[in-house]
Amino acid sequence: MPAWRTVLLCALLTTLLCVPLLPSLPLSAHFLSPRVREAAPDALAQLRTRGMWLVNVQLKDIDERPDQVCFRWEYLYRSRTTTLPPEQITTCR
Amino acid sequence: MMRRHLESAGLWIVIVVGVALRMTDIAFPDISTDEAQFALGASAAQPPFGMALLRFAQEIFGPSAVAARSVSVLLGIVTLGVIYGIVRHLFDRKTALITLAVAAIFPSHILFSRLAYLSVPLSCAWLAVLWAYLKATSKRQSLWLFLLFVFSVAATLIKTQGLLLPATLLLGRAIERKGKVLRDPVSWILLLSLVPIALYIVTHPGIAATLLLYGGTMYGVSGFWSRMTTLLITWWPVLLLAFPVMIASLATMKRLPWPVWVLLLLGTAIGLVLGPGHEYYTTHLVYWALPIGLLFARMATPARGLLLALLVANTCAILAPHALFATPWTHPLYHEEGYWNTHADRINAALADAKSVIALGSVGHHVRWYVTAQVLVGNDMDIAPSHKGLFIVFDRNELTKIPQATILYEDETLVVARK
Repeated sequence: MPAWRTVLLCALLTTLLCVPLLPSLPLSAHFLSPRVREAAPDALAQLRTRGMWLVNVQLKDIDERPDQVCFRWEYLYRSRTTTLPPEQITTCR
Repeated sequence: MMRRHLESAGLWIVIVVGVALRMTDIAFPDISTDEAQFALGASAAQPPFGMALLRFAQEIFGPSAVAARSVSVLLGIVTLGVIYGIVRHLFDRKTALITLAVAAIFPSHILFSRLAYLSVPLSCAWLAVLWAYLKATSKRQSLWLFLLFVFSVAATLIKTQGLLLPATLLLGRAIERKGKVLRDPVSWILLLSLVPIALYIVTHPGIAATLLLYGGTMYGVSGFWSRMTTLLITWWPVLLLAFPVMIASLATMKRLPWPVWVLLLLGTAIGLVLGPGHEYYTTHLVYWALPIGLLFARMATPARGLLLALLVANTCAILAPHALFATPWTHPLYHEEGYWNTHADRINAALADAKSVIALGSVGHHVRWYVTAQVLVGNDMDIAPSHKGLFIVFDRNELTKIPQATILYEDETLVVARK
């Protein structure tokens, strides 16, 4: 196969690898807001007060309201032998 | 002819010893907190592929330390084949075999081939990237271009720092071609391979958060001499005689092409910049087998044989199977069987059928590995005086948080209490 066809194939594979990540871009865009960035550490602290392992928490949504910023999380605890059902949590500041 | 056969046989014995050492004492040490983090797929700072390999092994062989560590064992052995391929491409069969023997017996690589860190998968991927790069730039075969893409993407998605080699090779390629990269397929392949990890970092704030958290403290070059001292203190016990041999091999560096220099520099500096006290970065020092192999290949056979025998003895002194013998230099992980391996059953029996337990004190991910109940991190929890439940306490000072609790189990490491 000529080299440039290989490059095109790899470009196609890159696109396929990136497609599953695209829906998360709007969520990441929220962090461009200073209010969201300011509220994020407090949201994590609230999760810590519940005894959660932060590495098992996935951010699902951010709701930036006039009076507060709310983060919606999914907590998926996993041990060596068990995966508990996901738990939905909302923290607001 | 007879002498060549004898030497070849000797080299293969060294290689077999190295492969065998990678497969011994796998279950002996406790799972560490970092290993548990990766084996449980619980790191917000890493892309998914490396952790997925560990999960996949556990899906097939069951959730055990041996299953998780089998990934490092397998990829540690594959690494040796890749090193042979690189040197065979650059030099002759004899030099490649000698280098293979040196890599097989390299102590820090053997150590981490027995553990479930991501350093062995990453070093294997980086070597594969180098091999494919050398082949793609010399033979111009499309297959090697494609493999360069595959190995590069794999490296970037095993660990975030995996992007460093493809990115540096891209930079080196641009310098080599004086900026004329628009019509260069190799440059395009490397650039494309970096796109998925770039998008992953943008869409996963945990990675950027980790960089911000550790940047300027653990990450970086601040306190350079202190870092160098810590680095050498970390390297010495896991290398011993291999270290001066590494230094001596610097004399052969000018025979190696610049992409190999890039890999050597990355592998050597990564510990200095990202955490000099982290022993797992010594995995990457196996790249020094390349210049060491060149050094040995130029020696007379008796001198080469003697040095290889010394290196084998050096490695066995550090990493021989614990059931065979121990030496003053035996790695601390193999002095005695891990605490959790010998006590987890009793701790879980004390917890009986508890659904959850609150852990107080220094709690690592390994606790989640060994304790069957759900473990809550109690350090930031507001535990009311009326709170009832089970606790694992690692720091006895924390017992003041749970007055009048009944102790169900205690030893020199922890206390299990019920309130």
